[in-house]
Amino acid sequence: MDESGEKIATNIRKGVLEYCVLAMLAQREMYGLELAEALVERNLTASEGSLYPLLARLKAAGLVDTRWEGGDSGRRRKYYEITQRGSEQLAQFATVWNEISGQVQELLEDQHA
Amino acid sequence: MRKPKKQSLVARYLEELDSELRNLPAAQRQAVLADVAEHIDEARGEGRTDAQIIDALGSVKDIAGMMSESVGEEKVSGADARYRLKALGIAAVFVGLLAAAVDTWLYPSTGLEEVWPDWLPSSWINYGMSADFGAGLMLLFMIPTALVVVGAVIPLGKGQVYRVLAALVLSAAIFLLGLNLGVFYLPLVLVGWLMVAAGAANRNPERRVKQISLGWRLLAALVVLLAPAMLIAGMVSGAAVGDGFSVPIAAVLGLCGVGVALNWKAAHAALLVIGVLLLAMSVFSMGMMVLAVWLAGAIYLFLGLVGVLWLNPVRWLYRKN
Repeated sequence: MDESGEKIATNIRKGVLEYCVLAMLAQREMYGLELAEALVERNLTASEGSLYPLLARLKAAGLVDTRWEGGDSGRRRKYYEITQRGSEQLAQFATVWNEISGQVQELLEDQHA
Repeated sequence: MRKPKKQSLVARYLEELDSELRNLPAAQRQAVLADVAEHIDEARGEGRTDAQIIDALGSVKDIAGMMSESVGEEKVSGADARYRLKALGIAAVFVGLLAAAVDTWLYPSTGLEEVWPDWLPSSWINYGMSADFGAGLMLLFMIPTALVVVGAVIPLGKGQVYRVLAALVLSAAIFLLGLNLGVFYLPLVLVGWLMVAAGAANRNPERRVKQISLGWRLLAALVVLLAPAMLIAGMVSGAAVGDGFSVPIAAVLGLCGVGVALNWKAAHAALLVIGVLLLAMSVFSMGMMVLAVWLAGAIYLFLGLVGVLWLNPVRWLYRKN
C-alpha cells in the first residue's frame, strides 16, 4: 500500500478499532497480548501498544470488565470480557456500520457502472 | 533468562511511556503501564526478543496520544466540567466579595433614593443606616454572589437550568441596580456565564474548544495588546509621561498578548493574575480611575479564566489523587 492508501486505512481503523475489540471479546474473553496479536494479524492496527489506552477507556466506560486468572505457565493474566453495555454498544455499531458500508458500497459500484 | 542489556531496553521504554503519560490521572496511567508491562512479559514468554516486542508496540508518543484522545471524550469531560465549575465558584466568591465591598462603600453617594421606587430592595436602607449597618448592607450586596456560587455546587445536568437562570437574572440586575452600582457586578456576571458554558452538556467539548480556539485567542490578544500599545504610543508621542513602571508594564502586557495568541499556559495564567490584581487594586485604592481599572480587571480576569480553564487547561490544578 502506498502512503496515501496507508493514511486512508489509518483513519478508518481509528474509528472502528474499539468496536473490533468489542467484537473479538464478544466471542470469548481474551488477555492483552492475545488481543493485540489478533488485531495485528487482521491488519486492524499498526502498533500493538495503542490497544492498551483503548482498553483502559473501554473499561472506564463500563463496556469491558477485567478478571485475573492464573495462566498455563503459572503467570497471572488479566483477562478482558465484554459487559452487557458493551454488547449493546456493539449491536448499535453493527447497525450503523451495515448502513454506512452498504451506502458506500453502492456509491463505489455506481462509479464503475 | 533475562539478560541485563535486554531489560534495560524495556525499562527505558516503560520509563518513557510513564513520562509521556504524566498528565493522566494516576489510576489510568498505572493501568496502561501495568498492561504494557504484562504484554512485554507475555511476549517474552512466546520467545519474541525485546527489540521485536518494543518495535511492535509502537512509539510511546503514539500510545500516549491515543490515551489523551480518549481522555478528551465523554467520561472525563464530566470531571472537567465539575472542575471548571469549582474553579469558577471560587472566582465568583472573589469577584462577588469585591463588588459587594465597592457597592457598600459607594451606595450612600449614589443618590438613588430619590429616583428609586419604594418597594425595591435597595431603597430599604438609607444613608444613615448604611453607615450604621455597613455589614448588613454588604450582606445584601452579597446576594448576587450567593446566586452564582450555588451554580457551582449543584449537579451538572439538572443544575444547568439554574445556572442559565442565575446568569440571566444577574445580567438583568446590572441594569436594575443602575449602572453606578451594577457595573461592579460585571465580573460576577461574566463568571456566571462562564459557568453556563462549563456546565453545557456537550458530547465533545474539547473538539469544540479546538475549533474556536484560534479565533478567540487572536481576539483576546488584540484586547490585551490594546493597553500596552496605547501606553507606548502615548510615551512616544509625549502625550503621556511614562514613569518608571510604564515600560515594564507595557512589556509584560505585550508578552501576555503574544503569549495568549500562541496559547502559552503562562500567558493565560498571567492574565488571570493581572485581572485579580487590578480588581483588588481598584477596591483598595479607589480614585478617579476606579471604574476603568475595574473594567480592565474584569476583562483580564475573564480572558484569563477562559485560557486557564479551556484553551490550555492548567492540568496540575486537576491532580488531586
